[in-house]
Amino acid sequence: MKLKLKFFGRLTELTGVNELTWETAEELSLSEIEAELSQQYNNWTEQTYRIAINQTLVTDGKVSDGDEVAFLPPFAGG
Amino acid sequence: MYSIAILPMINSLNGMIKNHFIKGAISPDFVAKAIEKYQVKTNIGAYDIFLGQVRADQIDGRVVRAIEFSAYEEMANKGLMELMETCFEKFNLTGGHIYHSLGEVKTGEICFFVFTSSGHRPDAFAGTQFLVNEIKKQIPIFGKEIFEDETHQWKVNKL
Repeated sequence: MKLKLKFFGRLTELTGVNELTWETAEELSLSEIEAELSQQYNNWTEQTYRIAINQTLVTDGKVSDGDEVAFLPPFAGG
Repeated sequence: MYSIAILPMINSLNGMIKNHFIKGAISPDFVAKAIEKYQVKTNIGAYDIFLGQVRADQIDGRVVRAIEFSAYEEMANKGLMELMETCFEKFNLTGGHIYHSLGEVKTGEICFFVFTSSGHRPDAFAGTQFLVNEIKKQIPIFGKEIFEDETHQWKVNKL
């Protein structure tokens, strides 16, 4: 499956990038994606964030081929 | 020092999504011009305006000199349009606009401009308050508080 991962705010300091494209042989669940990120980036598990799939906030849910998965730290608008 | 931002309408797969973002600070002149555009609507009896200004907070002896805003723009623009639609369903408004800065905004400058208009004041008061509170909670905008010594911390809204 092909996924676009997007990072914002303080998370970009951890990842060093705003966006990543992942291509994997197997289907990945949201928790598998998070587990992979915590392997790649130190302190990932200490971060506070919400997840949006294709620009909709989710708490769980299926990830499908071509999805855009965004990791959103606490909001600070206004 | 100030310039008037041009707000392009952008195309998206979901139709026309309004761009609510302005690069840099929102000038007082921009606010004045927004009101002026509405004055031809003579069924308006009330405007309510909220302006957010970058505050020189002092945190552990460091003083904030600016906030650098960023956003998940596609999601934020959609969310802002949906919030405005909900606001029009809840309150009897004749108009409404939301603008937010992106990039660096210095202390004492305006970064957030919400205005609503209505026939009578209760709807405009309630509409603006609804929009401001929900934007702070729901819209993916991020702020890096830059201190005078160029260190920084990430702002988190108090809800």
